Amino acid sequence: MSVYDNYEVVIGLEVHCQLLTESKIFSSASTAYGAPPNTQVAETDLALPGTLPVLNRRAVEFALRAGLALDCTINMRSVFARKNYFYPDLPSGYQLSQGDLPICKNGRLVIDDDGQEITVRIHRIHLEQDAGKSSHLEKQPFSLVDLNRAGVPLIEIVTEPDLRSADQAVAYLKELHAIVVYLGICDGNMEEGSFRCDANVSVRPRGQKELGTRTELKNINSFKFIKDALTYEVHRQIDLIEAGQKIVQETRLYNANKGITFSMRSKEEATDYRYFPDPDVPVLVIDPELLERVRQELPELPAQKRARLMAAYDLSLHDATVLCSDRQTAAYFEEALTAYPDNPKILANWVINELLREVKGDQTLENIPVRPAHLARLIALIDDQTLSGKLAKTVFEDMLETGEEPDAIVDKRGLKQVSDTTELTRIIDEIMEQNPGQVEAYRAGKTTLIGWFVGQTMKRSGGKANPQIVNELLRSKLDA
Amino acid sequence: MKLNTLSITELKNRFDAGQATAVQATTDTLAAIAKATEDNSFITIASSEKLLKQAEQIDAARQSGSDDSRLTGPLAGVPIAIKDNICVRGLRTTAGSRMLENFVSPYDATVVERLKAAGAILIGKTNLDEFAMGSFSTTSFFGVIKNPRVANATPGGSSGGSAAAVAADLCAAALGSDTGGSIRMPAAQTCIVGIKPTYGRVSRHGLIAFASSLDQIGPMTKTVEDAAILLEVIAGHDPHDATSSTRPVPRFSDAVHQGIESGVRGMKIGIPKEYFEESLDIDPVVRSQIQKALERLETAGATLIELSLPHTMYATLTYHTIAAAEASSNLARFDGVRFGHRTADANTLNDLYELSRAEGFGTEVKRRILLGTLMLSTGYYDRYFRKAQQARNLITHDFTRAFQGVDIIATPASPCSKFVLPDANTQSDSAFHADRFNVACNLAGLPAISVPCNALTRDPNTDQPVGLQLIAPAFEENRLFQAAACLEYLQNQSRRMA
Amino acid sequence: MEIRPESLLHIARLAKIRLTEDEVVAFTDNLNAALQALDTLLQLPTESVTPCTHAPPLLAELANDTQNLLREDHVEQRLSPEDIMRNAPEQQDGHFRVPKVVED
Repeated sequence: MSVYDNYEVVIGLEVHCQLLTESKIFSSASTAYGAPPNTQVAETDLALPGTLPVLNRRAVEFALRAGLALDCTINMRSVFARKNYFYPDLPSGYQLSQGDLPICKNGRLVIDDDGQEITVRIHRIHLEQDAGKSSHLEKQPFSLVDLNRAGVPLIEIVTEPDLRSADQAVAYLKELHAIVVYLGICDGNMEEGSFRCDANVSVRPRGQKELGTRTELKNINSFKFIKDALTYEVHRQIDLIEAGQKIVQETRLYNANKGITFSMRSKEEATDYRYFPDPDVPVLVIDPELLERVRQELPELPAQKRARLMAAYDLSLHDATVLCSDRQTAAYFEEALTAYPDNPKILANWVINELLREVKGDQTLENIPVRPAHLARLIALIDDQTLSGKLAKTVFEDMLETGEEPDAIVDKRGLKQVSDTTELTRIIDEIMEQNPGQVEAYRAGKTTLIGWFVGQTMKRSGGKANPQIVNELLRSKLDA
Repeated sequence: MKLNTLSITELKNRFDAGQATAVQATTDTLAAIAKATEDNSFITIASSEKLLKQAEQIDAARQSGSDDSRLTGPLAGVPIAIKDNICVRGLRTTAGSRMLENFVSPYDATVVERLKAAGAILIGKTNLDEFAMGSFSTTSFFGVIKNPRVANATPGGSSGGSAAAVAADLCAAALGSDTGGSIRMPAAQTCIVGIKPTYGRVSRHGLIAFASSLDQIGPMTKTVEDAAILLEVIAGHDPHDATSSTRPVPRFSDAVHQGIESGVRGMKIGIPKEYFEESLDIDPVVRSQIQKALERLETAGATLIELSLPHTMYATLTYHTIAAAEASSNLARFDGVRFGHRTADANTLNDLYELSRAEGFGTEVKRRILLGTLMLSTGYYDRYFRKAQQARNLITHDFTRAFQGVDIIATPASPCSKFVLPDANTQSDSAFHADRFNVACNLAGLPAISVPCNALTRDPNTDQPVGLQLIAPAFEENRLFQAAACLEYLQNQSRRMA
Repeated sequence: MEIRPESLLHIARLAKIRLTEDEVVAFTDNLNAALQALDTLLQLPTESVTPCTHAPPLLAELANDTQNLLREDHVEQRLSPEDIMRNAPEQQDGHFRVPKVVED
């Protein structure tokens, strides 16, 4: 038992998701990633004098999707507030965010922590605008400001401090990630910063009611780093307490190379953001009809889909989890299943073990040459014994290259399994005739030679013989 | 007859009758501006070459019967001046500040787009109190503005340049902006017509924000009918301003004609006692002239009804708290990074911010930013800012209740008849009181017009301009136009008789 | 309530305006005068009065119009790259340039 086990870990997470809108939250400039600097900038994003923000309808709908998917109460009236501070990547000198009245509040997300169900309460979801980017020049006393990202819509999803370990935090983030990607509201790209996480961490001796002093870990951009950073930070805090020292409430960053967290050492005096309702942005009134439409159009969420697949097709939790890890995989599987519903387990195996292995780099499930109906047909050919498992893999490789249908490939390459007993009997008779010694040895009791006979038969059939029928024929002839 | 002395209506009549051309109107206006530099009404004059070319095209289109609204629209060939806190693409837009001394707007304000689409000749940008913060036209980086109607006085502010330009015939009409009386007060001081429309009636896109929940652009004109014509052009929903109303824009000029033809019969005019109390420091000329104007309206069929707006005494404090708070945030974008003044002495980012802003802003602007920052800061927000927001609701409610019994409300547009230099300095104390009759309308978002109510002899040494302020319920500008047109007509009649 | 020069300096730092010593004195006096005047407002009973956050006609309009205040999600780049940078006091490689943002 380690000293670390004497402490309870308390974690709350704040996740920023960039919304997949075409244009920015308050302007018509594009949100596309990777454009030349300062080319996707509208008057408002530049904060030109006299310009005004006008809210993007789709950003509102996306926030509602997230709110409904996370079981939130929707505020039918929500208010945008200005958070005032100076920074070069914040052109207007204030960030438009939501203060006292966010669009969604009081939700929940159930996660699986190693077989145990845990309910994480969602404190709030609010809409806000992203900042631009400052890059810092080496050896020159300047920073350069690019405003392409300024004004990209974000939702911030804030949990209650309900998570009790780094593993739970990661489980929550993965589930949340799958949900926002499923909802089609975020591309989930953590490297490009579309899905970013801040964590509030504290520890307390087990049994203690009051929360310990917390630190905030900022901008961690991979699941692995989150786990590592949280684990490090928890140990750091416990070590400090054990050494009789105090935790300082501060913001810390994670250095992935060294595997440590470090203080941002902010010198500025405590900032006073002077939040106040933005008079330029009218109170956001949610039209009940819009809310109802968003509710109707809500896709099946990963948890529901997993449960349904497991129940309907008797899939394992593992298989269901992999198939539901994103919407494309699940859609692929279900489309193939519609084309050939007879053998979901084999189909699942093929999707997980063969197909997903090929999805990498530019190859996506959308553009992979093997279409769902083709894969379904391949499974059908296995089931009706047209193809052996081994031949099926050969056909699959051909499908990957050519995009042709399996039947065409089987025909083209003459791969059809030979189940015709007349032809196979002829081959077997030939082998027995040419190898009387082996026949004798078998009949004398060396029955393991059956394998040798099978091999010979397969070889002479060009690998196309149906092994099961070959076996049956051989036994009936040799045992006779 | 110099064409620059004409109103929009008169000018259009002459164009239509073939008695005048846009080129003549533009030439006369430019000549008048060149002669009247002493008033300091303009910060920027548009290129005369370009203006004359535009005027030529308009004249040619009139001959050939083109259907391009830019050449034949309702304001085709009419010289209009624009307050310099409204963006015009390709022209310097300074807001009267060193901060924007060299700022060239890359876009047109929506009102400017609409003026251009209506064929207006945008003659130049008028001087104003810095960022429209001031009541006397004394805080501009480009110098004090003089009142062409009153010797040794300012035209009031902050739209002082627009008011002076209209009064001195340096344009047919102008646009101003009104956050706490900045159209109505200088209109009264220069004996012209100025209307602050209902909040949301006119797009603010392109108006350099002072206080977002109070600002509104409006016409400043020689006649009530001109104000109606100009407002018809600039009003209406704008997709670039989410606070602009989607309501259809009525034909305001119909209300003007109604006021002239059938007067104000049956109209109930509320007289709020809080605006006329003996204890108020109101110029006797103002009292007597307002009285006379009200009597005229009575003879034209109106009923005067005394009423109370009980929270009036809180309006000025409420206004200054909210306006400063919003301004402190609105002016944060002037940081020397993307546009505007940038200090030459910055070694650090903080220097860049603090010095650029220290050098770029004048004293009055700094004062309001500091006050507003204080009002929004921890502790002060709950004590003062929220209190002001609550008071604003009470003040609004006063009007709502009053309008259950009357159609419009009448008050003086300004307690003073003139702001004589050098008393009219930047002292915030007097500014505090100068706009006391105006700010409540901005807090409640109501439309209000200032209409001249005494005849001038055109002797700057003796003339004492007085303006009557009429206030209507939200989006009922028609009532203002009807009553103001009636009063203007009666005054013109009596002048003709005399 | 009265503020002292130190508080005024704190406010000026929040507002990012460097003040001279004379300005500190003058603005402290001025803001204290404003605060004193505001005592009148503090006397106003406002219990249970909703704070007004937007222009009242706008708030009234919201009751019957929720649609037109949002924009559709369409991309339109109205400013040219030259327009975007034309007023920039300092630029480099298409970026706005500022003294180095300090980060440790």
